Amino acid sequence: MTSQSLPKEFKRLECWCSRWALSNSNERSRQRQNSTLDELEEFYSSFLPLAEKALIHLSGFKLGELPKEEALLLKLLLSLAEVTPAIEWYGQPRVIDGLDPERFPAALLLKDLSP
Amino acid sequence: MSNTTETRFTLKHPELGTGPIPTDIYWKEDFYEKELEAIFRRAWLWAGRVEQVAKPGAFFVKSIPTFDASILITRTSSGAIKAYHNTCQHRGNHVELSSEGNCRVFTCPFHGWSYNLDGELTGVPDSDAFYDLDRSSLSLPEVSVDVWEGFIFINLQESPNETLEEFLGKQGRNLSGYPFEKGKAVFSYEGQIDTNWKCMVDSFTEAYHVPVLHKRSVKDSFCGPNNPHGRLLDVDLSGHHRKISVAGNPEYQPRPVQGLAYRFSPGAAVTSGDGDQSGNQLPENINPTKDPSWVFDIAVFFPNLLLFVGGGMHFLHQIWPLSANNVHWEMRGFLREAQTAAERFGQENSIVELRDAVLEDTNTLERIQIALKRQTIREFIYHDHELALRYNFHTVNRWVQEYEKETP
Repeated sequence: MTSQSLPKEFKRLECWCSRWALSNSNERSRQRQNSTLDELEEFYSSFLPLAEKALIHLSGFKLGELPKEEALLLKLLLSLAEVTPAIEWYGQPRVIDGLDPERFPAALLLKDLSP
Repeated sequence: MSNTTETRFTLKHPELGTGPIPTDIYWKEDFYEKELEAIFRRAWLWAGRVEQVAKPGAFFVKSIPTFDASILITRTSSGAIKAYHNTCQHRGNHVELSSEGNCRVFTCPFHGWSYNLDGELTGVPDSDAFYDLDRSSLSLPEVSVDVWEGFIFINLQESPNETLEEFLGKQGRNLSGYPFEKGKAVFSYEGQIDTNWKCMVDSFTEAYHVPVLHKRSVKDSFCGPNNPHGRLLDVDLSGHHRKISVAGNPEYQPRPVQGLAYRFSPGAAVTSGDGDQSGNQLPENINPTKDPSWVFDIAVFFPNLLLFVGGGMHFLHQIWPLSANNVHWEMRGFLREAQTAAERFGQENSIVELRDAVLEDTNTLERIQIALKRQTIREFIYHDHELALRYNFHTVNRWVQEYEKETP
């Protein structure tokens, strides 16, 4: 595992890096599907109090020119975006009455860390 | 305040009637065989964007699952966009195996025959050992291609009976001028579903389902107290095509993380109900009623392309039938490029919301297809705001009837 160090105001979130700093949206989706609701809620609720601060912080960084710590913070935020509907919409990891996401994977992926 | 309550769209088109629609054409293989010839071999079909062939030598390969066809699209040295069947004229292998790239010649990986960007056969290894080799008759077979607003369309007829401009007609003019070129951040999803292609297109052309099917997800973004049933702002039927205008809920209060995404990346929010969020001057006929609660227009380009145009992003679905009862389906989204890391989060939020809502939309389709095949539903009863679906039925039948008239 490479360095899992976040900017110092966000050290509390480092425990989530091994599970949620992933390489693309298909991996994030799979991780969401393979987690329990409790696990997702724990990630969401420990991130939520810091999310606004994290976004204000990252507003000062140009995509494509991120230092390692900020890149890692963005990776976690991208997973927060993936997990959010499970909490804010469904109350379960999967879409309720939804098509299996494994049947509809991303083909073209946005890059995570550059435009 | 939305003007969505008093409209009666269907009555403006008395020729379409108001009665039930028979469901045979949504599952029967014999009708599907006619649709292939009458519609998919004759209509202009979306194949890509000009950004994919930005410079001479840039190319991409578009597969057309309906016909197992592989179309090679490139920009020539003179700057023209050309399309070819991706078929080597020696033994029929694909000339180009990559899905995209840049080159000066296309070289078949079987025996090394090569073709220039104009499709002409320029290289034949050990050519002396062939008999009467006439290179001029061995160019890559050309496919009709034209461009509208940066969207590349192909047509599989040898000489199309309408130009692309004629084919698109008023729908093309209505959407011209939308800043499609700003959607540089491209993502896509692909899959297969056991549904009829028309049922799938139709499922995205009404909003009557929104407060029910999407009750846990986007219902509140779209349906406020002024529009509890997802009524449309406008339905525009023009030529082969149709367009609906969808209202949002101006009173919507985003949920916590979603709200942060909208705040830090306003242009990327697809369901915020804010209408035009990024200061674009949109063409007059997008959101034609100029309703402030407008979220997006959904333009269906007959037969199989749905283009959603909103204030901050646009996205499309393209649905390729594989038989009467299943399809290959692509959703492709075009976002403004994120400048900051915070905006990248907003993009991801938009993508995830859109994908999850679409997973809700599409889970009905296989159940419907089984009901159609078992004939436990023999007629569709359409709501006034499901007029676009009724129009699709009529348009499909018109194309098939015209084809049958021309080819006895």
